[in-house]
Amino acid sequence: MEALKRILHVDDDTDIRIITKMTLELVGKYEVVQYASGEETLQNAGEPQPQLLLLDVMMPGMSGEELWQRLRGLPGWNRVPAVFMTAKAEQAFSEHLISAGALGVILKPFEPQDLCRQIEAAWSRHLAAMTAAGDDVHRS
Amino acid sequence: MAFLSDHIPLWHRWFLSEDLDERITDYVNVISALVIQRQAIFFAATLLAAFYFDPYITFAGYGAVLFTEILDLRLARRVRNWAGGDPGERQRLVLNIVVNTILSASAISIFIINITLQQHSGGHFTPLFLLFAASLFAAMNNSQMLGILFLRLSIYGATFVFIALYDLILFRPPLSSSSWLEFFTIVFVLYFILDVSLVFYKQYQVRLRQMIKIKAENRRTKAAYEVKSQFLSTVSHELRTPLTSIKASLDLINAGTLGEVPANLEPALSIAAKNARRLSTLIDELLDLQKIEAGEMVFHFEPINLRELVQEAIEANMGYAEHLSIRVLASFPQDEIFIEGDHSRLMQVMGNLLSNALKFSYSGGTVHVSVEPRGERVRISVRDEGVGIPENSKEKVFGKFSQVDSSDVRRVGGTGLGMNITKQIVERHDGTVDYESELGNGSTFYVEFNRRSPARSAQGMSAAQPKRRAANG
Repeated sequence: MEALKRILHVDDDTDIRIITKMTLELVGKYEVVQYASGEETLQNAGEPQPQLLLLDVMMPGMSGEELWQRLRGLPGWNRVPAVFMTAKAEQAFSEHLISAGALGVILKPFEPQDLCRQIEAAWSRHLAAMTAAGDDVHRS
Repeated sequence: MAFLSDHIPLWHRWFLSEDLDERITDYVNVISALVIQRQAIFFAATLLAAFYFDPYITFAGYGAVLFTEILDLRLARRVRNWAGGDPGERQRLVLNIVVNTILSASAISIFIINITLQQHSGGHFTPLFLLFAASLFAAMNNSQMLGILFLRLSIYGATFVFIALYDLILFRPPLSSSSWLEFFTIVFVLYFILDVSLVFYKQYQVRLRQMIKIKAENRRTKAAYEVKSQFLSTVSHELRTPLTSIKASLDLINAGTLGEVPANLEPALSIAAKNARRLSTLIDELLDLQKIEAGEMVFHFEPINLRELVQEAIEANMGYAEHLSIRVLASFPQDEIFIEGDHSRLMQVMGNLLSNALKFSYSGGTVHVSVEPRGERVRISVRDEGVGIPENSKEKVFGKFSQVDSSDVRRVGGTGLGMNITKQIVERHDGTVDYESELGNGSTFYVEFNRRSPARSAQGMSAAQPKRRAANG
């Protein structure tokens, strides 16, 4: 089972970026690449490709959702799953993101331990889905 | 608009009164609403006239009147299907109303004149009275458009004058004869009808203005509400963003992830972390409160197994309970009990009741949770052996932002909103929440819901369920 190592995190708030990086690196032991906006991400994202996208939703300019759509358009980026972070606690909104294909939605404010747990859980879900899809492909 | 109105002839202006859409709709509604009265009057008058006069002419007249009624009802249907706004259609409708008015008033007038012509002696009491009835009916019910009102009354007025002059022209009696008295009386009655119609018209104007004002007020309120909703939504996001950094920083520090926390810093950091959590809860609760009061809180109702729900809630609060060294015991009945509810909101309710019980308990104490079926309802009780609540505090307990506070009661934190939100959620589930308490002896909070059967029978609803169905519908 592929372990989660590389995460791409995008958030427009500087402090949230710092604290999230700290959390992900110290608690989750992940390698984190960060950008402050959708534009910056699209300009700079490259090798090595992240395994998971962690995207803030409400950002000035390009929203997290929009960024995700654009990233998926890049060659080879279609399969990278996305987890969204949002202060918008509406159930309906989370459901909307999930039905659009998001791997998970994490609410702000988050607890550091909880953040990593949720990310791991989402990653497991992703791996399970990939395996199932792979089985289907082999079977058909 | 002022410039234009100088150039539109007066009669035309009557037909272009403001709020024409509203008036047209009102006019047509009145026609539809009073169909039965009108038909009854027409039919009664027809029977009377047919008996006392030539039945063929009478029923021909009745036929003509019925025809105009059908035209009116068709017009009513057309207006009902009209969405409003299109000025072309509006003009056509007004024109239709004008035509219908002329036809119907004329048909009625001709019917009445027929009776007059068939009366060989003077004193045309019957036709005059029928005409008076028709005029009064118009005066009371046709206030919507001044032009239409006057059009109809003019036709009736002309009929009145005709009847009044009929005998005078035919017999040329002297001034002292009763025919002239009738003539003057009719003039008097005409004036009376005009006066009454203006009174009713003024009343209608007032009503219409009020209705328009109310509608505008309603629109304004809704708009303001939208703005407030948006504002709150934005504010909550803006508040949560810095709070995220604060809370995460403090949690990282306090968990020792960033290194050992110097003992002298621990208390301050612990307080900071705790209050960051409080702030977060407060924002959540404020949003919840706003949502539920705006009727915007969406509930996804589904069958809920109460035993599972309560166990889940207890588990979620286990950490807090252990931290306070309080035992939580649960008791359930033999049978599985189900209710219809929103899982996450009910978890919120149970969480609120449990955390309150824990907060107000003494260390080392016990909190008892029980699920008891009571006929068609089920009661979930949370009993603590803690400080208790003073008498007459119900309003404070379930109110907003107020917490029961007396020198005997330990104030243990909380926003004062949780209970209020709980109450509103429970009430949206058609349930009740209440408590019994004695100062010093603890409190028992309980929520009651209607039970539902675990699975619907093949035949559909069982007889025991109808009340609940109506409540949930």
